[in-house]
Amino acid sequence: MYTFTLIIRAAPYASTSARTALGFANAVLASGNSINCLFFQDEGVLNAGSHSTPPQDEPNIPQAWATLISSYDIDAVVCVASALKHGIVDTIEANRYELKGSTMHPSFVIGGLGSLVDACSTAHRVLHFS
Amino acid sequence: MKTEATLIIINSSPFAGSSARTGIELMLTMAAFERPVNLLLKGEGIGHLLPLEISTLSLVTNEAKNLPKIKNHALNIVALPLYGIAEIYVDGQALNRTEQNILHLTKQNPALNQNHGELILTELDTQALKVFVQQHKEVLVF
Repeated sequence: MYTFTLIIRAAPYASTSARTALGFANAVLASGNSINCLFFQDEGVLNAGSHSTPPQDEPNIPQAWATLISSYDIDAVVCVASALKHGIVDTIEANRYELKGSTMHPSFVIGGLGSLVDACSTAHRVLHFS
Repeated sequence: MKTEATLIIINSSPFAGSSARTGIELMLTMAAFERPVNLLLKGEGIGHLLPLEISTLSLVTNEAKNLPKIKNHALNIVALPLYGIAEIYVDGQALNRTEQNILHLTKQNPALNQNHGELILTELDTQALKVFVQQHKEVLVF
């Protein structure tokens, strides 16, 4: 059994990269392996958005991430610097910056690069989707 | 035998999006956590070695004066020795192209000896580059 860390730096709809990452994560977990951290960075933080509402005939990739994370209880960390830059905030950050409300799905948590380095040090493999 | 160090490859320009900055920040964080890490600059990533005067000038041209300022991420390279990273690796082919461009621009000496004094730049040819990458168990490309 292998432990994976995934770094997702691709926006959900700008390319197929985020969807590929999602498919890979599903395959890892379905095959009995584990993911110790999903780290969302740069435009990848948009995968953690709670307000994504695509047309009915298109996949809701942020929702698919949230479902996967809840189902397997995975640590899903959103880089704080990237999140703030892209308008992804949880309730705490929204209050801190006096914004109207959270824009991040509650399955995700905001964290720093230290979380990523920590995850990388215990994973068998680190994969990067950009 | 593979090294335990993580290899961060910067393949993108310091002026094109946040990819390179993200890679360098991750590298600095790893170094701060005392995780072994190597940096390889290749392709447009060689732009991080441009003389600071040139890289800064390119951000304040007349055309750019009315636009929001861009942060010069190439400056982060200079900070590497502070994090205990004394040596970085560069793609020799890309470096030679850049050096020629710099010479053309400045009509002076290449800047590599001017602005990155404390950093040791190890130039790798195509074959050495291949071997170097293969030596690493973990490779992240930015």
